[in-house]
Parts: sequence; structure tokens; C-alpha cells
Amino acid sequence: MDKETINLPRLISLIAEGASVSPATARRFLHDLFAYVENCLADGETVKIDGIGEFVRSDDNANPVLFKADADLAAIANEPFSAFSAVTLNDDAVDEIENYKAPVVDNSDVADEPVPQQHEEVVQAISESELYSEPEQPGIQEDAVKVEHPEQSEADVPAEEIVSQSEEESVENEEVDETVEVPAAVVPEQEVAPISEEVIEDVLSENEPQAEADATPETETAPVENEVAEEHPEQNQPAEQKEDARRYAQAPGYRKSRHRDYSHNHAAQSASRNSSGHAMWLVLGVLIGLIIGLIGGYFAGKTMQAYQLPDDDSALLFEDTDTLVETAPIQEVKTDTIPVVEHQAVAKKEPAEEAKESAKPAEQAPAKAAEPVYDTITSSRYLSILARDHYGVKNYWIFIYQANPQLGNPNQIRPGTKVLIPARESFEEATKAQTDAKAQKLLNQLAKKYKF
Amino acid sequence: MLESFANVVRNSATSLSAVAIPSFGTFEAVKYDEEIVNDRVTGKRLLLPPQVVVEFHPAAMLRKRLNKTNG
Repeated sequence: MDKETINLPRLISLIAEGASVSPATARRFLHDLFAYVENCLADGETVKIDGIGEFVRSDDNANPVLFKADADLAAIANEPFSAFSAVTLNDDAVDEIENYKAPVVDNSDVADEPVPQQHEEVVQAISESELYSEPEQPGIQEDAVKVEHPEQSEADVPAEEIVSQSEEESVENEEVDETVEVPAAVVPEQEVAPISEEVIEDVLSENEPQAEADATPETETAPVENEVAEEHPEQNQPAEQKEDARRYAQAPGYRKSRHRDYSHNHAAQSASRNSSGHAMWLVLGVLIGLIIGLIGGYFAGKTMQAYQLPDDDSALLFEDTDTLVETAPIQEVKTDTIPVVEHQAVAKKEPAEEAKESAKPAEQAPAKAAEPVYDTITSSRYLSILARDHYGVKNYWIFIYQANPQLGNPNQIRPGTKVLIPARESFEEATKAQTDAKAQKLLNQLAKKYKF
Repeated sequence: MLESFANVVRNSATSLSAVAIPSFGTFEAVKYDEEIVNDRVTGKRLLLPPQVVVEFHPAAMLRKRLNKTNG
């Protein structure tokens, strides 16, 4: 709810209307009034304005002025809650709440049932308090009338006189109440009123040790109640209402249910907060782990592929090892063949084998020379890597490129493309420097063509 | 005039609004919710009802002037 603030021009106009004076006069009045109050406060004095309150100078620099509202003003401001009073909570109430948590059967039933009864009790209490507060209303109305007729205002009248007048009014009201024949329905109003006063006095006496002097009125009011109860013994219904009012004043069930609900809600909220927090951290941890694993795996795969041996080389290596394994026993046999006959036999066989072996490389060499070498481009083995692997010089990839005219832009070759690796003799010049210069020249031409 | 000023403050208190006086302060009606407090003397727990209290907040100018005179 937005608070409305009455600013100075509006305040001046309101005062001018209320006091039927000119706005300039009202402005001067306000200026003089608060200048006077400020001067008094600066001198360390206490200023009391009837109908407003008391300004007291304090030593606290943060709040150098303490304000205590006038009793009438405080009562009028707190009128909506005047029916309520402070209630002492029993120490057993906490134990009962804790014990009550275990046998919870159905929260909806427990929460729904007592509320209407308490609501009725609240309505009863408010109606009773309103009925009781009726005798006080004429005093307030009189004040309002006084405000409407400022010429009759008692601003200049000393406070003692006002107090005496109010006492007289209250005495008159009491006399009127006594003289009027009290109907049966009005009696409980008179009985309930002292109870609320008692509760207030009890609370005040507990809160403020200085209020111990008020203990005597309590003892005085108690016999009065007894007398009233004795005077009207036939009225049992008001007594029940009185007990209801007391029950409402203590209101243990109502408070208990509210506190129980609050504690349940609080526990549930904290549990849900903790669980959601744990879940969030768990998800975060899993995500970070996944990201780290993916990045690590990507780089590991890349490096593994970069340092992987070419397939042909590895095939050759395996072939060599096979031949070594196959030839090793033969050599051993050769060395172990000590008998002459066998040696001769072996010697007879040897020329034939040698001839065969010498014939085989002769056949293989032209076959190898004739066989075109192919290699496959992958994401980690591109032309320059192929050139390095096959020729030992990266720049010679241009010759591989030249041997494969279908490639197009050398920067846009798709992985998996099979390329012909030309024989070194097909492009090699007399010296390595000449070959390098040739490669560089071709590279420059290609760079001009594809602008890289 | 003082009565009419008090009447204005009273009306503003009932409607939970504030009356601001420049370079002096603000009269404001503040609503406090119910609360449970521990009585230090008796050690018992008290359930205080909700209440509306008229408060005065001194303006910064007034505070400064009063603190200056206070030394």
C-alpha cells in the first residue's frame, strides 16, 4: 500500500480551512511553532504539544529527537487493533506443538476445522469491544466538535483542567450507566471489559517493573467482578461468553496451528532449498566433467592421428618383420648344418634358391616401379603431411597436387580422397635446390590462382 | 490553529499516511505486525498484537542543527 504524504502546501491549506484563517497566517504559525520547538530542543528542553505528542532531546546523534505520541493520538491511530491485547504464551505450548507434530493425521482437516470457530470468536470479541467502547465515543465526538469550533478550543487550557474534565465526563458516563436499567444482553459487555483491562495490566506489569504499583487496582477489580457475578448468578450464558473471551485471549490452539504450519513450511522450504542446491551442484559437476572429457578426447585423438604411422609404412614394417621371422630359421639351419652331406645337399640347393631369390627382386623391382602409389587424405593427413611422409619435404606436396588434377582448390580437399603419389623421379631435378626452387615456383603460381 | 494541525495529524494517522514538514521532520503512522517476544524479566513469551504507532522522523536539517548545538 502506497503511503500518502501530506506536503507543506497541502498542510497549510488544510490548517487554513480547519481554523478558517488565511494560508499566510497558517504558514507563519507553522514556521513559528516548529522554530520554537527546535529552539527548545536545541536548549535541551522537552516540548509537549497537546494533541500531537512530546518531543524529547536525546544524546543520540543519529536520532537526536525522541517523539512520544499523545495518548489520544496513539489511541486513535491504533483504533483498528484496540480490541487486541498482548498474550502470554504458555511454556507448555511449545512442548504441545512439538508433541503435536508426530500424530499429524490430515493437515487439511486440522487446518480447516478450528479456523471458523476462531473467526467466530474474533467476531464476538470485536463486537463486544465495540459495544463496550460505545461510552467512550461521546468523548471523541466532543473532541471533534471542539476542533470544528476553534474558538472553543482548549489549546490554552492547562492539561490538569482537561484531565479533570475528562474525569468528570467519565464519572458522568458511569453514573449514566448505573442509572440506566441494564438489560440482560448488556451485562456481558460490562463483564468482559474488566478482563481486557486485566490482561493489559498484567502484560504491563510483566513488561515494566515500574508498573508494580498498579497491582492494587487488579486486586480491586477482582472483587468487583465477583460481586457482579454474585449479583447476577442466574446469568450463566454471559459466564460462558466470558470463558470464550478468555480462551480467545489465550488462543493456544490458534497460535499452535499457525506455528506448526510455519515450522512445517520452513522445514520443507529449507529441505527443498538444500536438495535443489545439491542437484544444481551435481548437474554442474557432470557438465564440467563432460566438457573437459570432450576437449581432452578431441586433442588426444588429434595428436594420436598426427603421429600415427602411414598405413603403407606400417604394412611395409609388418612385411619386413614377417620376412625376418621367416628367414631367421633358414639362417639358423644354415649355421646348424654341420654334417657334410647335408651341407652339400644344401649347397646343391643354394644356387637354385639364390637364383630364384635374385630373380624375385628383379621381378619385384620393375613391378614396384610400375605400381602407382596411392594414399588417402584424412582430416589429419593432408597433402603436406603426405609429402613429408613420402618425400621427407613438406613443400613437395605441390607435385602430389600436380599429379592429381581432379583436386581443385588444395585448401578444400575432402577427407577420404584418394590421391596418387607420383614417383620421386618424375619431378626431381638434378639437385635438391633445383627441386625446391621448382616446388616454390609452382607454389607461387598456385597461391596466385587460389589466393592463399 | 494548533487544534486544526492536530486534527490533520490525527486524520493522517487514521489513514496511515504521513505529514511532512520541510526542514523539521515527518509524522508518520507505522503499522507493526504481531510478533512474539521474550520477556527478559519473567522469561515468558509474549504474543504482541499488531499495532499502529505514530512516529516522528526528524529531518536531516534538524538533526544537523541539533547535533551542532550539542557540540
